[in-house]
Amino acid sequence: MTDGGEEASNWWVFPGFEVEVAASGLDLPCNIAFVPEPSEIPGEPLLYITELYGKIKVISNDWQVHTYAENLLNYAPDHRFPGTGESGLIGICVEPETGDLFVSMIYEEKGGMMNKVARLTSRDGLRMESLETVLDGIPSVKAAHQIQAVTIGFDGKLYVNLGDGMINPGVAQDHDDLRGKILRLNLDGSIPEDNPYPNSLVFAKGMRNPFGAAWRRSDQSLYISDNGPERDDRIARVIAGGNYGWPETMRKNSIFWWHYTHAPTAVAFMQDGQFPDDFNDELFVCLFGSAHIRGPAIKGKKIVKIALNKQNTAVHSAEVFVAYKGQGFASPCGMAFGPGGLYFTDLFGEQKGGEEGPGQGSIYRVKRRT
Amino acid sequence: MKVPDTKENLEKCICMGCPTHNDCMKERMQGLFCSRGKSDCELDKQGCICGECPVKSEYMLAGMYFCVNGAEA
Repeated sequence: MTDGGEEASNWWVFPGFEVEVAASGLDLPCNIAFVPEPSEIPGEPLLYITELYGKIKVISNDWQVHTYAENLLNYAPDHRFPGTGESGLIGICVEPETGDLFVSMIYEEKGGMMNKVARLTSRDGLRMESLETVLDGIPSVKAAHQIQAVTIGFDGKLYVNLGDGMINPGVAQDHDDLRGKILRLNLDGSIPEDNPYPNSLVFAKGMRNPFGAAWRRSDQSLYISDNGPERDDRIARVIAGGNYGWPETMRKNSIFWWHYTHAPTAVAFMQDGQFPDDFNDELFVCLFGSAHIRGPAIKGKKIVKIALNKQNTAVHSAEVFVAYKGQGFASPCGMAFGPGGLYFTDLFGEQKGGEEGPGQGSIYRVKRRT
Repeated sequence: MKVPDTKENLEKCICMGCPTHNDCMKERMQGLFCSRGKSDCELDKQGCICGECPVKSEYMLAGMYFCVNGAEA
């Protein structure tokens, strides 16, 4: 962990807080997931990172970066942003009992793209030893709108955010199609007996491109971000059997929406005391903005904090918490609360040469100013 | 709003990164469909990223799939 000098100073942050570099040298760092109860042993795992083009890195308690897995994609990404380069290895969560990872990604099959979820195992948590496919065969697209966040709920079930696949948005209302849905699975991929629809993995429908997901302890609920077409990016609390309206509308059953799209990615609740009590239970949302844009932006390149009302049906306030002010391509993408603060990835990194390249991505920590 | 076929707009154009932008369109160097009109290539709709395009935002265009539907009048 370093103060990061120039790179950290490229981020404006809410008064009373500061930004520091937690890790650097990453390749398109996308989402992050902390080990739920990490040990204090220096070489043991603390934090996992998906890199968009098929690697998983792990940071140990001594802040050393290790390669956990690589070559997870079976096709060659084309690095086109926005567009066909925006897809790959995205979602990640850590199973608390075993330390196994669940990850989401796309793969190529017979010339088409498909979505899948895999469970990765390791004895030491630092290097993958086996990969088991839990869910696959769901049509996808080589662009955004693919399979997104994976989380484990308070009920021990696996929840999977699935984009609508972009080509035919109507699938989001089709019970026999898993696209445009939030899925609920047993950890082995089977259908839980108490799912809202009999013999179906569908937990909720009517989503477009639900990138982010986070569980809130105070109401035991799942909250997601979902990306609208040209308007109405939104936040929603996901309930069993809920219909969230897409493709007719992005506002149905939403608790907040941005009329002007900012491309919300990861979401996280401040519920473990990293920030002062005033921030307790507030929702933090990464607003990525347009893909691969240099410099600060009106659209996205921020993290906002949102206070919900008591009924969890609307918001009291929404304020900018972090904003990019540098001249590079960095934009907040993945995010999670961890030791001492809020951590986020910058996907492209600064790219000072103006070109995407290996090792330019970073993870930052936002902490209280001391 | 009509989109001018200018070098500036072509530089902002993201058509080449679109999953629908196929080999035929690439061979014929086609793009900026919101200005130049629809493609004469055979194509399958594989998704549309017009919603992310700065040209579309700048000219406040309402449509999608300009490669299929043609330029906005």
